Order: sequence, then structure tokens, then C-alpha cells
Amino acid sequence: MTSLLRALSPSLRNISITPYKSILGLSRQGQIRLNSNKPVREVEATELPQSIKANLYSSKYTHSNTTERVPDSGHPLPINVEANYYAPLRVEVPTHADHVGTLTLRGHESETLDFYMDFLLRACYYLKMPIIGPRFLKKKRELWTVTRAHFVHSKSKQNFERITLGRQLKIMNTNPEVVQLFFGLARRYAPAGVSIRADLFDFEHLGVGKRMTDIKLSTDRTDVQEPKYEHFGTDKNADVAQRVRELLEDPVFKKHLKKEE
Amino acid sequence: MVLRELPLSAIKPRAPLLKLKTLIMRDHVKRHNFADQEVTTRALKYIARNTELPMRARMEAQLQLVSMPNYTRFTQVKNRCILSGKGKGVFRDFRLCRFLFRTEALKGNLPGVKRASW
Repeated sequence: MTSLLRALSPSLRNISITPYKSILGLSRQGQIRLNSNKPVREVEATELPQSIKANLYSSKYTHSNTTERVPDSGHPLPINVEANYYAPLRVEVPTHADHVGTLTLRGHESETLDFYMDFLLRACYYLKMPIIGPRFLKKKRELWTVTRAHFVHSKSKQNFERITLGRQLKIMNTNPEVVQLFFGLARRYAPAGVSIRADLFDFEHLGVGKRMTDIKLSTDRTDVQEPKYEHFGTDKNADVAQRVRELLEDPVFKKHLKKEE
Repeated sequence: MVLRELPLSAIKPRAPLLKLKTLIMRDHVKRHNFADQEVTTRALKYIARNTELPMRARMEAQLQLVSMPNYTRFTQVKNRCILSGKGKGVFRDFRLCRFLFRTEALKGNLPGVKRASW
């Protein structure tokens, strides 16, 4: 969670890092609020090496004009910390936009999903990605009815269910490298109990079909032997073909082949 | 030396998490045997079913298929409860029998599974 906070805003390093529950409280869907009353440890600029100091934002960008002050120190809140009080900001989506990627979250708890989606929406804003969503996916409900006792014919039953919820984010008009960076971020900071599916779409110029014929497919068996192709096709794969060739060259089979010819 | 001084009850081991049962082990062997011979079986089936090959070669392949050990067939493999070894009433999603599914669900060991009422 501390790394999440750091990713959320670079200015947060000025605040003492405390466990998640004391700093952030989830009040409503899509809203994070600061609840911290902990003392703040200030980092003086002289402590930092020159290379970092050169890359720091000026206070014009990191400090808001809010009347709210960081407790004890009296400094105004950094603007991206204050942004956590509000719903995530968004980049405007143009009327005609290209759909370049989709991120799908799945899990069993809505709180976890909503909290993580909130984090991702903020990340999208800082990466300047126009997005549509999050769309609520249809929930999948699985039901099981079992007997309470281990005896087969016992009459009393008990019901169990597992509900899988989903949230989907459509990413528009973004460079594929940035989308992949975003997917990497989403995967890295994923909390427990959230599964992520990332779809990246690629666009080609017209006439791809003609160019496809020029691509020479490799006939080398080492390509097919990679683990991801191991179970591709149950009946006919490279291993089976090789074994058939070996068997037919075996004298037991070869004599039959010769006689017929 | 230290162990001798301890009372017997202190050395008593805890019950193992996985009860290794004969039927589970047998099923395990069957799966391994099937995996080992899978390529050969599929190759022989390909030869036996290929109508372009001479009849004698196809018959030979069929004979070899029949003479293979029983444990190399996938029909021998059965899904069993991984905790109790039961062969009936096993949920594929959890690989547990219905009763252990209930106990594990009530303990909260199965993610997302809750008591349902409607």
C-alpha cells in the first residue's frame, strides 16, 4: 500500500508513511478520504541529491490554494493529495476515438474492485489516457446445494454461492507503449483477490491480407515445441507426427507398406 | 538426547494435511502412465484410422493399441477428492467431494464461496 501511495503522487513522500488503514479510509464508492492525524516528517531539500532536486516539481504545481493545511507543519496540501478528496479526474474522450485496449478486473468483493478501479482511474489521468468506463460487467453467480451431513440420503441441505463481479475499462486513443505501461502498473499493484485481464489491440494499414502471404511460416519444429504450444491441438501436433513417422519406418509396419505397393 | 527427555505427547506429530490414500495414488499412477504413452497412443490411432494406409498396417496399429497396458488409457482416470480420495460427488471446480466442500467453505478456505439464501 505504501508503494501504491507513492505511485499515486510523488509529493506524498513528504508525509510519514503509515499503514493503509490509518491514512486512507474508503467512505463511498469511488471516493478516498484522508483520515491521518499522524505527525508529518518533513524532508528538507538540502537532504536530496542534486539529480533528484532538478526533477522536482515547483510548489506552483504541487501545492494547492486550499485553506486546508497539513497538520503540525502548516503547509498547504499538495494538489495531488487534495485530489484524493474528489472523484478521479478524467481526460476528455473525443467523439471519434480508437479503441486501443481493454482492462477487465474480476473479483468477489465489490469494495476491493472499486478501490482498485479508483486507483487505476487516477493513474489513467496522470498518463493522459482517455478512457470509457468503468463498465459494470454482469455478475456471475454459481450455486451449490449440498447435504449438511455426510450421509447420502440425509434430507437437510445447505446452499452455497460464489458471485464473481467484474469492472471493465476501455482505453481510447493512446500510444500502445503507454497502454502497456499502464497494464504493467495495473498488474504490479493489484491487491489480493483481484484478477486482471488486459487486451491490447493493434491497428494495421489497409492491404494487410496481401502482405500476410509474404510472411514465411517457419517449418522448424523447435518453434512448435515451446511449452505454450505443447497442448495446442489434441490429435495432431508435431510430437505425434514425429512418432507416426518413426512407427511407419519400423520394420513391423514397413513390411506391410512394401507388400501393398 | 533432548528428544528422550521430552514426554511422548510432545513428540506426537500433527495429522498430515493430505491423507494419502491408495486410490489417490493409483489414480496418480494412471495419469502418469497415460501422459507417458500419450504420443504413442495418438500416433497409433492416427495410423489405424488413416484410410490411405494399407489395411494390414492399420490392423497392426490396432493390435498394438489393444495390447497396450490398461493403465495407459484415459478412460481409467477418474477425478477424485484431493483431501478424502472419494470418487463420487466430486466438484470439478474445487476438486473436493461435496462434504469436504461444505466444511472448507464454512471455514472460509474457498475464496468467494459464501452461504446462500434466497
